[in-house]
Amino acid sequence: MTDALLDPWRPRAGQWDRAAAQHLFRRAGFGARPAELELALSEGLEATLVRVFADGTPPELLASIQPLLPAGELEHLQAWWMALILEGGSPLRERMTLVWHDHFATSNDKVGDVRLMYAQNELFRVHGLGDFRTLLKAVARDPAMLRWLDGDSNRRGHANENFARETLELFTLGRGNYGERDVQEAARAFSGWGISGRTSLFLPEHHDDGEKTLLGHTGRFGCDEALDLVLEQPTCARHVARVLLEAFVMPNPEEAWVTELGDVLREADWSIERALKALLASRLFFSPASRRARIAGPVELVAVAVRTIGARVAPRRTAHWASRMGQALFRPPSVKGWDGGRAWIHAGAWIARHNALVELVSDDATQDELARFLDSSEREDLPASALGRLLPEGAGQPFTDALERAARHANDVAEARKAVVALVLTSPEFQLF
Amino acid sequence: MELAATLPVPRSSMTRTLAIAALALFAWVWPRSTPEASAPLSPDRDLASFFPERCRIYLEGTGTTALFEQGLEHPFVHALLTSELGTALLSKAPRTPDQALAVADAWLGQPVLPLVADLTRGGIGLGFDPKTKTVVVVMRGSSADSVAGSLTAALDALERQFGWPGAFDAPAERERDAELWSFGNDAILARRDALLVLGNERALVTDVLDLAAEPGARGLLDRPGFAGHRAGMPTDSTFWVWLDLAEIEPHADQGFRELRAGNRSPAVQGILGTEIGALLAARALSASLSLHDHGLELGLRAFDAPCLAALAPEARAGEVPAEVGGEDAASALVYRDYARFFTQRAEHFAPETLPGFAEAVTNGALFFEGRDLGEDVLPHLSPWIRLVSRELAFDEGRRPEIPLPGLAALAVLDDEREGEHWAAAFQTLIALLNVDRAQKGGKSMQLRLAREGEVEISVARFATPAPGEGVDLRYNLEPALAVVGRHLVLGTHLSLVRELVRELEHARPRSPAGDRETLEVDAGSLHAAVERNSAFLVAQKMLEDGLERPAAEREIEGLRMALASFEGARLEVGGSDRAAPEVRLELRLANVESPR
Repeated sequence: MTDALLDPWRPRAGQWDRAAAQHLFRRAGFGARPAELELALSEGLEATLVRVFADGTPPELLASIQPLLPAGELEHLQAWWMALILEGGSPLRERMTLVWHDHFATSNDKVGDVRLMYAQNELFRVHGLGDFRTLLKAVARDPAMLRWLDGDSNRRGHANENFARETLELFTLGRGNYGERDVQEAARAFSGWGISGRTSLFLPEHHDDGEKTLLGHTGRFGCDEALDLVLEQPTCARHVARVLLEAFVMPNPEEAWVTELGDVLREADWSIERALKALLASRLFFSPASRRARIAGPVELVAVAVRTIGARVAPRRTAHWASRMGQALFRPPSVKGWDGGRAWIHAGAWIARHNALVELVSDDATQDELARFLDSSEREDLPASALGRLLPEGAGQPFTDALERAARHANDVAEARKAVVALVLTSPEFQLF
Repeated sequence: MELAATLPVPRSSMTRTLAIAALALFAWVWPRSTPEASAPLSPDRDLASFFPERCRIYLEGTGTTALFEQGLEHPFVHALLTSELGTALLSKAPRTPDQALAVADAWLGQPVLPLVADLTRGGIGLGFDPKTKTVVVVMRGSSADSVAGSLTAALDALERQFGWPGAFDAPAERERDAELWSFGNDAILARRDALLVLGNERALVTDVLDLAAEPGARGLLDRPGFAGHRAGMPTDSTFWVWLDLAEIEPHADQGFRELRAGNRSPAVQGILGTEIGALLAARALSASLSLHDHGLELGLRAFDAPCLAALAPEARAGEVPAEVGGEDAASALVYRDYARFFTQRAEHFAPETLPGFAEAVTNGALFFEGRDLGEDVLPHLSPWIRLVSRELAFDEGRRPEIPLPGLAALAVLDDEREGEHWAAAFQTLIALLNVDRAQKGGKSMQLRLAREGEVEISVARFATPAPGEGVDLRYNLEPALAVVGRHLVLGTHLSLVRELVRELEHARPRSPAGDRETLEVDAGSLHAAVERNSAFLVAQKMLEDGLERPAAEREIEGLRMALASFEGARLEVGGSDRAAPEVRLELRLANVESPR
């Protein structure tokens, strides 16, 4: 790999193909419905990138959760978000909302208020592609976060260090890039925030306005000033860059990539959108090493499978599938979020993945879409059609042989279609995005 | 010719030829055994007597003649078609009912409904054998000639429509004094006298014909309980069904078997009431459906139901709470003798459930100052409980975004002083709930006392939300408890309890006088609740069923129209015999217009 990792990728003839387009849609969103993929292939990379960054979620869909919030049911919120992921017109925005939900992991198990979780989710949606500085400061005063990390009990003289510690360790700098004293001083700076009803408010009488020394700087820092100091640290930009690289490129990215993207982020004055525009158009992003380099998480796996075959599934059901696979939206297991990677495919989760995908393919309501998706009524053509549409990068001969056997042994074309698609979706090859 | 086959053959060929010729002549002139002219079927013979006992499900149109004769002018049909739901459905149908009938008439070549009325004037019944999954329909017309004529018309129509000229001019065969026609392997049609039999299995059709041939045959009338239930069928019923549940069970799915097993348990009968609980566990069940211009009535009656003696109607005691006079969205009177449950738990419940009772007693002692729930608390409470549901008046700033009707329970204490223990228990419960909620970071309820006249009301409520915070679903709950004389009132909301306290001020409990368990629902209130919460229901449907908004809105609108089409419903449970509980459901149509 040369130094110009983030130089734009200029595909030669034939390089902007189904595999490249699918790679972009799976990483930058949640896969493409058949018509979207065809449009992308006809329009080319640049026009497709413009579409990826466009914000097209119907306001009505965004607002559809409002009548349900008073019921206080988390399942409504989970289903609503899946509806936005599956049908909303802003896949990249929803992808970033999911990234920030994992990064600033907050669980309703402790927050216990669906409206607060909704408000936080909206915060990620509104600021997710914007300025990371603004996002971080909004999160620091978000009522759900205050409750989750006990920020609402952080008082002068009785500091609660939870939020300060996780902010430095997980949200901004990473372990080894600050000291224990920094945690204590940051906690003092973050003190004085409380929750009234569902609104956060600053209580000056509870704020420690004394002099603090944080990250080598001394002053009477409040919350925002402390966060500005954190953001000034070079490691902060690299930390956030690593988050983006792991979300969009591959786990454990090389340090050179982290540094380069961190520089882009700083030069863009923390604009996530500008950083992503550079990343998603880059040679790095489209490099062979980046293709199929991530194990799909449950939410993205379900969403990509549903959207790719063009199925229509009740959002609540898809949310249940993702939960069974180990990713219950709004309920990350800890402040570190979901471990991801190989942790998604332990034995129990693998069985849940298999069952959910088979259920998707076997559902009566999916059969018409499957028939349209594979576009072939001859069973001997089904394996090639399925591979071409679902695994355009190709698959090994043993796998192809297995698909052909499955097609041959099925009772009829409809059963053959189900068998072939189920085999592909449940394959490790498909679940590497 | 069989006779000839048994005779010795002469040796000479000429002689053989003459012998054969003689035999042939003999066979030809010998009078053929003519079938005895079949005795006409008695028009008074019970239709059920034509059905073999293996028909474990029997459905009879006991009042369908009027339905077919009056057609769209039948009072119930007219009322349904002119209801809001009927009007909406018809507006979407490709044809009006009149047009649909006209098409059918043209198909048949004559008016359909009068023909069907004539074919079924003596009754129509359907029998189903769950073991073989076979079905047979028996229709009895007014006379053999009219049935023959109607059948000819119907078969001619089939020939015309499907291009089978002459296919049914003559029956395929004759058997047991009946003419039979076959429709491939799918159906057999037989006519004997004024009887038409249609079935999907030859053997079943033959069984019916065998019973028809025996003047004294009783068929289903010999099933235990069948004749008695049939005799007790309402005289104005339109349909009547008999379900031999014990015989159906072996052929039904696991869910049905579990349902029947569950309904035998004391716990289920204790929760649902012994009659309803035992209904589905009965040996057999009959149901009647009566159609009127004001609505319909469904009656269910069990045969040999395993009702718990301890909970049976004749064992009922206690006092009935006074009636209250408000506008109820729903109301019910139920009998639940939980005191007896506790004291007789060892008799009625499996040993593994008894620790649960012990735990309940221990927890009850926590609330009732150390008193034993089963021995010291519940026996002072009459088992008769009146339930009332009404629309609520919410305070300013506390009206939930999803408002629901309130619910209150009225019970009778044998001693007014017991009310203090219940008030204390209520307050203890709220306090403990608050501790639990505080530990989980949830909202606590403020406990306070209110007054309505001389009556003190214990009430708990959540703090009023700040403007803009939203009023959550939980604000439908503001639990309150009051004691008015010997009436104990426990409600989900203070305003409802206040109303009931006012209404009970001069009321007294009374002794039961043949009281039955009842449930009354005002459809208008349900309709209003659906209308108020339609945004919630639509959004929920979109997420749970994956419907697009227009489709979800159509479904909820359909529900609303269905509720708007009814005025209300009344369910009554009772029965004079412990082993034969009865349930009667009346559905009243709304805004009934007279037929044209």
